[in-house]
Amino acid sequence: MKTLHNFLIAVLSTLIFYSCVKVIEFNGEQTEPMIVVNSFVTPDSLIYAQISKSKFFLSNKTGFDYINNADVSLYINNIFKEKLAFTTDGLYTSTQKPGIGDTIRFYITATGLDDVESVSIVPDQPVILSADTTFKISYTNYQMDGEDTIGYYQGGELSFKIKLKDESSLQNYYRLTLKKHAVIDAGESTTYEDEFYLPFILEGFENTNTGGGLFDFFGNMIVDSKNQYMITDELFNGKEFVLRFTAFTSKRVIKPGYEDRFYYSSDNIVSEEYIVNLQGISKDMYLYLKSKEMAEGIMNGVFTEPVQIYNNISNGIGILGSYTSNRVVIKTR
Amino acid sequence: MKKVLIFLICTLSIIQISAQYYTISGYITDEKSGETLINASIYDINSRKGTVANVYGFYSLTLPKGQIDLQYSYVGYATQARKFNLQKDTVINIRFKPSIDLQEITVIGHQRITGVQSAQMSAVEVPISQIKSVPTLFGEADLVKALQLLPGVQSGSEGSTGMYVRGGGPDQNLFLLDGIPVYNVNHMAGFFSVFNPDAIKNVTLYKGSFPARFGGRLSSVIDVRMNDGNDKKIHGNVSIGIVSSKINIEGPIIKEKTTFNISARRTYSDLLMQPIIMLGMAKDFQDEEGNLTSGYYFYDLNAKINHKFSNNDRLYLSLYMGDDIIYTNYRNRYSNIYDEKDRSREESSERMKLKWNWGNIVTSVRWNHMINNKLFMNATAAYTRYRFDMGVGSESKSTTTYPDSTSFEFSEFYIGYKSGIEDYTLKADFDYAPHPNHDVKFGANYTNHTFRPGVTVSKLTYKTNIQSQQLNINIGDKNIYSHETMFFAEDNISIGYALKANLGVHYSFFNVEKEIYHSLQPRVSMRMLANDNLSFKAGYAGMSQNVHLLSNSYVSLPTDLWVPVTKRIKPMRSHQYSVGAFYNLKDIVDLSIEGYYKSMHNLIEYKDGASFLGSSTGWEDKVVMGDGWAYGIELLAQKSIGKTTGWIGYTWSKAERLFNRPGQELNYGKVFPAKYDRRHDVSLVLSHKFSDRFDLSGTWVFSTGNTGTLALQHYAAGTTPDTNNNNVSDELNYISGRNNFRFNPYHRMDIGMNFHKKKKYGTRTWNISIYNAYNNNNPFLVLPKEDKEQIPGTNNYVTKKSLIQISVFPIIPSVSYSYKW
Repeated sequence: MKTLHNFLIAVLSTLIFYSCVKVIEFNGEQTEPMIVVNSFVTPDSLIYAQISKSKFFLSNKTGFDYINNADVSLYINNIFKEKLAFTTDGLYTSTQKPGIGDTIRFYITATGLDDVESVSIVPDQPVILSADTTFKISYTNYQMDGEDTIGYYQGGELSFKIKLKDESSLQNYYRLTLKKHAVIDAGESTTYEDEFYLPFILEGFENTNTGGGLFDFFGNMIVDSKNQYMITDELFNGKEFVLRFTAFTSKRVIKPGYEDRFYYSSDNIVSEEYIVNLQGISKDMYLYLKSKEMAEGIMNGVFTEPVQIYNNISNGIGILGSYTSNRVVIKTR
Repeated sequence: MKKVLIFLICTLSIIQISAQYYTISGYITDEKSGETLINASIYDINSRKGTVANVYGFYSLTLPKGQIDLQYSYVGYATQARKFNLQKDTVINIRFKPSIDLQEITVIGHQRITGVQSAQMSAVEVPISQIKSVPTLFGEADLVKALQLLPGVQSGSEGSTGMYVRGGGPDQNLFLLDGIPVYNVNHMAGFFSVFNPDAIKNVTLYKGSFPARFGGRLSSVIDVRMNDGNDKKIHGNVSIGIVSSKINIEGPIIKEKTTFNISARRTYSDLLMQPIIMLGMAKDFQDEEGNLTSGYYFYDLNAKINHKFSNNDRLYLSLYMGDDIIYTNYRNRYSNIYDEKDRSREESSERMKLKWNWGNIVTSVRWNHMINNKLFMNATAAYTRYRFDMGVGSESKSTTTYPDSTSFEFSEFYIGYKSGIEDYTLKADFDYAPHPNHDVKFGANYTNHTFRPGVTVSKLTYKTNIQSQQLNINIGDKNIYSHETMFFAEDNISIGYALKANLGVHYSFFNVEKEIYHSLQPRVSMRMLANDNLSFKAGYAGMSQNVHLLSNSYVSLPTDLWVPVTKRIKPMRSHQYSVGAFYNLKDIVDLSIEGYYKSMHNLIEYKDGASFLGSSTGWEDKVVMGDGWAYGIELLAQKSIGKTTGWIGYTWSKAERLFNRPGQELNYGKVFPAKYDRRHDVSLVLSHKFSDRFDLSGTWVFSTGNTGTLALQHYAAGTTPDTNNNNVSDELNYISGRNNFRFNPYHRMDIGMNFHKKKKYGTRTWNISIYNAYNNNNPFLVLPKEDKEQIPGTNNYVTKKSLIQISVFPIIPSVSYSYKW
């Protein structure tokens, strides 16, 4: 009886939990490679375009092939200006520099691939009326060595207020980044520069992706900081608006004479500044960056809708976007 | 609305006084069981007028005085005739005798609600015996899976009870159990439906041309009626299968006055799987005193009591309740751990508990009252609720006894999540048959909805003999309350011999969070009779839906959540047009061809990247609104009587979506196929009764594969300006469009055999079923896969990419035993 019982359980569990996985042939379309264009245009700068080839999703090839013999025609305001010159690794460059409001058009041909084209309009520069910053210490952790206090870590919130004026006649798209630039004393009368983009939290704008994790019963409670925010003027069309955002920063201070007992070296910062870059970006660039960010942030799987990364290359893939920056430099040390 | 009612009353009054008519009324029941027979046909050969019994078995037929030749017929029963001279209002109660002799069961005049002579189209009645005989997964007869075999109805993923009717979504189906909505019709991730066929008397599926009495969903109405119970003697049925066991008992409490019917079902995979769980999972946890139990099961219970006060008054109490339960319990106890150093003795225990349960309760009280022989009333008070409840907790206790003192430590952690929907309903429906050419139905319905969008509760307690800490947190959206009121009126009008129409109007009023939505929905269904066996029909139905289901498309999850329309998310609307031809072949086979076009507005779809597992918080931000349309042709040949029964159905259809409203674009604002858009669907269902001891049934289905979204090209991302440039060589996926890829076609054959034998007190039946008899690997999911393979003789690897198809159910034989007395 026990044997029968065990046998039945084995059979049942095999049947209930059996699922067959098999490799199948792809029977759809779009198996041939396409031209891929990546280009971001900004006024008063040369235009660069990276041209490569896409690959079929079942291709076992590693990396991507650059297209080094493409014919990249540049039109500005519908007037042919030049063919972009090939430099290296699929990179093409112009001699012309576009201006604000220019309509940039690429027409690209490459042997064996469908011709592609794309258009983007260089947006206006955003108007920044004022910029302000405050620092609030959040915590101080003292470093002890026996009875002695030998130094401390101090962390805090560096808050920014950027007042902008939105142009009412258009729907505007913005991108906000924050860069930290520091000059650091390397000793022996030498310095080096350190520069990187800081993650920060922009108040009042979406800080999480729409995708949820498995059994995400808490909803979107966790606020993530991001390296860039892409926003529309939906909330402030035609008005003045204050963007409030916060970055977290810290510093280490060692009491003189205790350097050798402190595990980490002190921050020997000579000067420190934060560069707030508010960009007006084209709608294409906005949609591309937003969808790319979402595609990178979601948990792929059967419970999440796949993300279509925005593409504005007709007959091809990629992005021709444009942006105009307005930078504010805030010195903190 | 008022004008329409006045017009109807005036018209009916004129009709009343223009000739001398008398009314024949009564109830139609099964002779053996006393069960009322829904949609039985009553037809006067002389006047060529007829009607059908309503869902309570009541009929009323008003005819001119004079010689009457009435034919009463019902599928599967011997026809009965009554000839008499009608000189006054007459009550005739009919008790039908079951028969399988084709000669005896000719359905005179085809006065079925779905037949040639009815004005109703796009509706199918499936005999419950047919549903029970359709072989299914694990041998579990399933109402929804039987309906999926009808033309115009598509199943979702393999094995699931998801229904996609005429290009609509799975949330656009109104499942009514004795007239009350059931919100979640799934057990076990949708592999079984909540409807236990033993408890069901009648099922009618409406796919279009909806009568005005139905409303609230765009795509279908599944009207399920429960058995009332045998009014003569106690009968029962016990069934034991590999997945579940069922019991059904019915009988009189007071003979021919009060009856009951109780059906219960429970799965026992948890009991069977326990030894495996013990062997597998428990290995890491168990010691001598530890104990781990874990499993999953579902149960459901249908109960109904019916009391007949008189021929004019009946009362019904009905209840459905069912739950799915997943549980894990772990206990461990350590005792007498002696520490020699401080001469202490420690006793400790720990417990962990996880429980998820979800399910429905549907209960109602109904009062049938025959106000007079022309006017029949049904008043209902009902409660329906779906709730999902999840809890995970742990507790640990320890007591340490020292020579001169005792210390204790207690900690407890609990996190729970609850969501659901709850309705209280009051409604009154009236059937009024003032004239042979008019059969009027009207009524009103009020529902108070409470939507519980999800609340998370967490509790943390820590206590020792010197301190105590407690933390309680509740997070979640507030309940949303809404009021829904609807009125309807419809008239089934006969105009001469050839023309019949069902004209109606349905009005709904929905009030949620200071928003009010009105909807006036006209309904028209017309029939033109070419001869007694051939008719042509056309219909239009405007529908509106005030609730949305937040759900994943692949499987039904208990976290699927109903939410109301809001200020931002508007009610869904649809307009459906259908035309068709219906032919009855020698009263044996019903043949039909129907074409339809349905436009749908304010549909919701998830945004790219959205996931609906878990919380509904901020759900409006995860969806966008758009439009859709579907069109197709359906062919059906159905044989419901005789030794061989079944149907052949074929559907050609197309379903598309367009989400191009500003800011709400999907697929770049271009048209894309709906998730379950399939070009061809074929289903063949056959049952043959070889003898009283043996019958055989089989189904074969074929359909075009489902759609899915695949990134067909990969490409290099460029460098984004002003970033840390860590993504220079990013590889991105190019998805050319939503649902841009089609799975392989789906086809499957199921076979079932029943071996019956008469025993001393009843009949025993062995059922052997084979699901997916030729073991076809049908696609459930198609996914790209990457494997790393080592290059022989090197330490290098290459990536091998492939496309894999996951199939869930291979050939699955099953066996069950049942005993009926």
